[in-house]
Amino acid sequence: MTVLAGLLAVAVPAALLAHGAAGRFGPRTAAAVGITFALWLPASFRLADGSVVLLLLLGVGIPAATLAALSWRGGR
Amino acid sequence: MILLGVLAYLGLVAAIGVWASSRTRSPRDYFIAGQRLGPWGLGLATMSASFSGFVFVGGPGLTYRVGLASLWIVAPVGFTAALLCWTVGPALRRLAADDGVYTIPDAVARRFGGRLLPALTAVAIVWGAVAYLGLQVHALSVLLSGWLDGWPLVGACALCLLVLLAYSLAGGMVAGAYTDIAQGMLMLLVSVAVFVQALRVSGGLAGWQAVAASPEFGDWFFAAFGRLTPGTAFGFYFLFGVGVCGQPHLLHKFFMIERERDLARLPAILAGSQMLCLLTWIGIGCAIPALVAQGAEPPLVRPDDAAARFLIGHCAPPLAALTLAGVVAAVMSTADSFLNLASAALVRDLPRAWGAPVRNELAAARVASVAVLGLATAFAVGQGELVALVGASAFAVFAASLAPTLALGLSWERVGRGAATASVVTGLVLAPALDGAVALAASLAVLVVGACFPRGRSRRGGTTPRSPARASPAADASPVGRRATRFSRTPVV
Repeated sequence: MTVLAGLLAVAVPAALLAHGAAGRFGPRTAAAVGITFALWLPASFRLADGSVVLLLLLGVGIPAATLAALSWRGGR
Repeated sequence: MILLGVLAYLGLVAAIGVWASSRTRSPRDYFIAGQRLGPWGLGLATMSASFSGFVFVGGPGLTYRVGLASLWIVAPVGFTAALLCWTVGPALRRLAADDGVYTIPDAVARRFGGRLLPALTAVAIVWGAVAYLGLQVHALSVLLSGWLDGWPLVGACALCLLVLLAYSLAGGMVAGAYTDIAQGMLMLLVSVAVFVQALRVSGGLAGWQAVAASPEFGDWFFAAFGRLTPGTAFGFYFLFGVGVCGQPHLLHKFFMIERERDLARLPAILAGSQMLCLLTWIGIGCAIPALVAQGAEPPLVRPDDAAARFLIGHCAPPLAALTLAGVVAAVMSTADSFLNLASAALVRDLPRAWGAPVRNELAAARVASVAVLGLATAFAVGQGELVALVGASAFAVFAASLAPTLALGLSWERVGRGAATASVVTGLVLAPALDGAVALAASLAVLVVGACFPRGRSRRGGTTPRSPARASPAADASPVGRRATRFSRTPVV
């Protein structure tokens, strides 16, 4: 159940973000956003190594800044 | 001093309300602020509507109970702003460009047609709004009963009810968007000030480390999952990450944006302001356990008292007044949004879905507001659970019943009326019975399966709002063409 919950927590938001990015930036950027986001949370967990502060920075701050910059840069 | 500060704040809000009321000349002004908001205004208004007593009272309380793992609830702010602005936001903005689309059920009716689905959407909004308003009354009561030592919770609830009623009937209903902007600015100021004060009184980050070594807490306080199970933590992340697309008090703000291209700047403004606001959650949530660990505070009997304890015992009166005004601002802005939505659902959306519109909607809306607030207060009085957990269950009602239909259904052409209706019904039935994340996963699965394996006419669901950038110039030439531009059957994706 835990693995399923973890997969859902990562995969569904990634798919929805890709769905939104496809309408705004096109399929290539959408695929890149979806795949990167799906891999990013588990990777930041690994990198944070139990430190909640580091996890917040890696898992929240960096995605927020990246997505905001991507959105600000524009799209169609 | 503290009461004077709060009264001064309420006076300021009333003044903004009167000014904004003078700018209200049409239903478009009343319901969607005349579609005049820019990205900064929309970002602040959305942030202040999204953060409420849940964040300012419930967050520190939950952190005291389960450790910093409580942040799994708010960790999705790293992507939710972009998710909102890339999926449901543009679709709602395009639908709102058409006259007569002022509410979420209006948008659903325009996209899918029929009467049952908009009516079910309105029912979900009323139900979730009562639960969420109950949460606001509960949070404010907890704060006031901690502040006014010896006051029973029921007495504090009654006081909150009176304040909320006076606020909403004195202009807050009309001027919600503009007061939300002022309240958002106050919330940001308070969050930064409280975080600095929390660090100062508890010995900084080094002082916070005392929590891990204390017998009252332990290493678990800073662990990634704290006292939550990994499944619960992931469930929170999923529920609050995806469910944000079904929160009508946030989505309604997207009707108000002036230009669709401003949505490109919104993720930076919204995510930035939300992260600043969360400093309160982290600051008070860590400072009170640190003060308990250092022996400067006795352990809390009721974890939700963390915010009140911090403000009373560790803030100078000017900061305490500013912070209390900030918490009241957070509660008021969210409560006002919900009162607006619930009364509109009761006197506008439901009667129209039944083909019997109400004649005097404004008067009926005021009566409905009083009834909804009464129901919410009854809900609040019966609560013995942590504020944050009550908030999670209220959030789950909207998330499970509305998020799949709004996040995917508005822009994915394959989603027909049948699939959307089945998804909303699934969410409404399962949200009170199951864990919120499970209910959301089930309603999402129903929608996707319904879209992939349509039955009969539901394969062609209706009119999908389409990006103007993809419309042909010829289509813009005539009024019919302009309508086709906005509601083409061509899929967005």
